[in-house]
Amino acid sequence: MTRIDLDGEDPASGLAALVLTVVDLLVEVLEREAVRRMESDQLSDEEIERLGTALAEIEAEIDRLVAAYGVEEEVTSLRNDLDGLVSRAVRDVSSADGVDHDGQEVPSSRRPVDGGDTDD
Amino acid sequence: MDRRSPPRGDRSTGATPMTESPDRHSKQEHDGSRSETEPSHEPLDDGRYLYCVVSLDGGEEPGSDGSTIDARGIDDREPYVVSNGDVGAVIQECARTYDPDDLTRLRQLLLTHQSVVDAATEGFGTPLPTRFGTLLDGGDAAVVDWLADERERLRHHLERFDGTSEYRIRVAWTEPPEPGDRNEELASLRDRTDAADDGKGFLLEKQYEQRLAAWRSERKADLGTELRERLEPLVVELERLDEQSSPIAVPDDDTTLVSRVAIRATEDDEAPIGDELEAIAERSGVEVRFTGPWPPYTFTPDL
Repeated sequence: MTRIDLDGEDPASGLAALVLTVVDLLVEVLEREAVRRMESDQLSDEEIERLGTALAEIEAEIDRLVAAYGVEEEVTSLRNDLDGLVSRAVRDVSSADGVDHDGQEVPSSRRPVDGGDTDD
Repeated sequence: MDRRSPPRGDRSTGATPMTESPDRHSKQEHDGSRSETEPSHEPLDDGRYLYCVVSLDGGEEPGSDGSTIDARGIDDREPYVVSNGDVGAVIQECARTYDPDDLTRLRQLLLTHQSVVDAATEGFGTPLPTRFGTLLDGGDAAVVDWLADERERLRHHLERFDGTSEYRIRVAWTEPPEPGDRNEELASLRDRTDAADDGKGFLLEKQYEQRLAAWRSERKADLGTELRERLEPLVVELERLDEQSSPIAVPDDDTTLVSRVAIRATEDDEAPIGDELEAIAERSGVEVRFTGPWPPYTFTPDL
């Protein structure tokens, strides 16, 4: 797990990495939703252009701030840690629902009784 | 294919631990993110560090059977074997618990632990390995009593593992696959992205990235399935492993993990297993790492 130093010589840098990672994740969610709406024809051409331009500008600003604070490595590492946590949580939920992470049904004897870890 | 440093055990025989679970060491999550505190060293009255359980011919009186292990143990102590009938434990005297904060020190201790288990394997055949840091207090007598209490289960697993070893296989992409023009959907999306205005082009680019990630995820799942289907007819047991790294394993590189599995197989199976892995390793952009033989860390259950 990535270590964020909030007590050291440069706590602002550690805090910036945290905040920028969270913002980056939120923007990714917005981008996914925008793509979904575009794919399902819920947006006009003008809305697509406007939304895409706005998200592009936000992404560029996040990149600028990450570079300005010099936290590229920390943000990348935090993203990887969080992606791993989310993937594992999704896998656990899927297994609890009787489906492994390949989408195959899990025999009932292998499903957790109390929703615990399900290493396969 | 190439060999790499040994995997770390993920499970153990459940000798009564004197410390909090040492899983966090042997499960390779020791990444230096813990706070900078002095390492804890709980003193033990008459401690014994347990390396592994081995199968014996039996017939000796319970206690030290005089066997030694051809390896130096942790803190340069001498490991030896105590027995109770046909089960024995490879142990050494131990005055304190081990809880190193320093990753380098942890790595050294794990390697020492592994070297003793390897030597025990040479002398006694496939052992039941224990996690790093498994301790008992109460001297040799406590270990002998534990062997007596657990004998039936220990014999069961020793006999189950007899003649087999663990091997680990890691398949990775040295470069992520590209769909090329064969995937019409992605090729069409690529063309539309290139032709679009800035805002729409940005969203189409994101759409392309999402579709590409999904396509690669499918290729990854297919390759993982193929790996398991090739290996399962040749091995005694196979277990899929999470994306874990060991504190003493090769550091992360630029490859993209596709699948990791642990298998239990006989020495005679090595060649046909290698042939199957070679068929995968020959593909462009694919790397296969095949390590072993190791003690059956992954398959040894908690007792």
